[in-house]
Amino acid sequence: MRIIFKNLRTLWSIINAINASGELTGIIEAAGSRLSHLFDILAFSILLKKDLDLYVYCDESSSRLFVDGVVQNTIKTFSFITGERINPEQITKRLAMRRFESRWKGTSDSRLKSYISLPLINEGKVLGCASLNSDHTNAFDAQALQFFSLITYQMASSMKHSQIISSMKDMATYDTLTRLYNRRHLDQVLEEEFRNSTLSKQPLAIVMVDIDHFKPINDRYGHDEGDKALIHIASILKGSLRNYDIVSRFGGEEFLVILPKTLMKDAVVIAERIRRSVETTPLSVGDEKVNLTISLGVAAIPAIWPDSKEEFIKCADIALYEAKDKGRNRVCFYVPTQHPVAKGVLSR
Amino acid sequence: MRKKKTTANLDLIDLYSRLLNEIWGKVSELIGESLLAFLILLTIDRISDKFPILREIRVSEAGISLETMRSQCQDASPEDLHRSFQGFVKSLFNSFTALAANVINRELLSTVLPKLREAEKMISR
Repeated sequence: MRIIFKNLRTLWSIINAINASGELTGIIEAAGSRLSHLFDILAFSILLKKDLDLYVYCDESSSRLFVDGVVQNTIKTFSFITGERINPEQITKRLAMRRFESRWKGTSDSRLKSYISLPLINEGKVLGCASLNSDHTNAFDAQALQFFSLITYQMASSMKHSQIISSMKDMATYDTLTRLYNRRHLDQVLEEEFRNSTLSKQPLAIVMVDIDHFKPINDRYGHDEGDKALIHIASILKGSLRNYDIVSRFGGEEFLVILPKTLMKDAVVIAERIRRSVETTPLSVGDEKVNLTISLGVAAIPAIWPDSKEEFIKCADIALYEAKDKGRNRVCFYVPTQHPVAKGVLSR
Repeated sequence: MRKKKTTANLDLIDLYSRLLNEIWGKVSELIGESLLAFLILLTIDRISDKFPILREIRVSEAGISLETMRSQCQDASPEDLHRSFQGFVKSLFNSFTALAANVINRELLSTVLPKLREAEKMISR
């Protein structure tokens, strides 16, 4: 009786730990690091349908032979459940060696001799499969199966919940069309960069980007082709920046690039590189190849010391309008002495 | 003749209905209703090309029902019906084996074997 209560307490604590883990890796870690408290296992494995990630948590004493057996068997069970033939090369294996609390330890010639595998299912959809693995024959009984099924139910439900949270976070952060950061996220990041820059007197530059003659593209070829143009520019912007630069869709056909720790002269070089890259990369629109162009306005600290991020953006916007006025397809930068009109014209 | 065939079919369906409900009762205690419903549907899906009558089995988290099959079984011979159910039970056991070796099947054998024998007798009568 005491053993049953102890097992139930352990089961309860495992389910609580899974439930409290917000993210996918946390859910798997919560199970992987605790299941040996409840089952005499040498390994716990889980293969996820999305991205085909295979996690194997093994006791330190597990032999190579045993681990290979676990991997093969987990893939086999997954294929059985999903009806999909899996090429082992498609799978990303993540192996974690732990000191398990199981009664049995492996030896150098241990092999997989028994297992329980259960599908991870939520609302009728298979998310993956999870397995308990042992190097002993008949290591699992009906009670182990009952307990493990409760655990896999909780895992599947927590995974689904974490997917929903993660897609909500994604929607709050990214522009759905271009997959760049959206305006909301940009406001947060720029606020932070602006505060850091003004407090630490570090340089900070921003570049406002606008696609030239975008409306005629939409009018002539339709909105789908217009969307293609936005995605095309977004991809060039992403590819032209350093890994710590931040690019976002500002709205409509406008983008804003944040260049942390960057002086005006360097920001202008980056902006010019982007302009040239757009100009020379053709886009297929309908049956035609079109070379789009963009206009860019640059503002930078410490060339100016705006009072707020809104004022900072306004300076870049003024420079952008200067570029448009001068005939488009060029980079202009904001000159404070000639406020409100930017006079620095770099190209053309 | 047709009436005799229909009666034999209904008797078989009754027998397999009892068997499947016993399987449902025992296995759902082990792995839960939704997982079991998933496995049964998976099994039906995989063998229904060979045994089309099995498409008339209704499965949900509430349980397994052969009521629709009762009204659809007039054209089937008792032998075909029996073979279909035999194939289904065998495939279901294979599914359980693939997931949990003999843990589930051990719990079921005492229930299933006598009923399968009874069905065999019914057919040979």
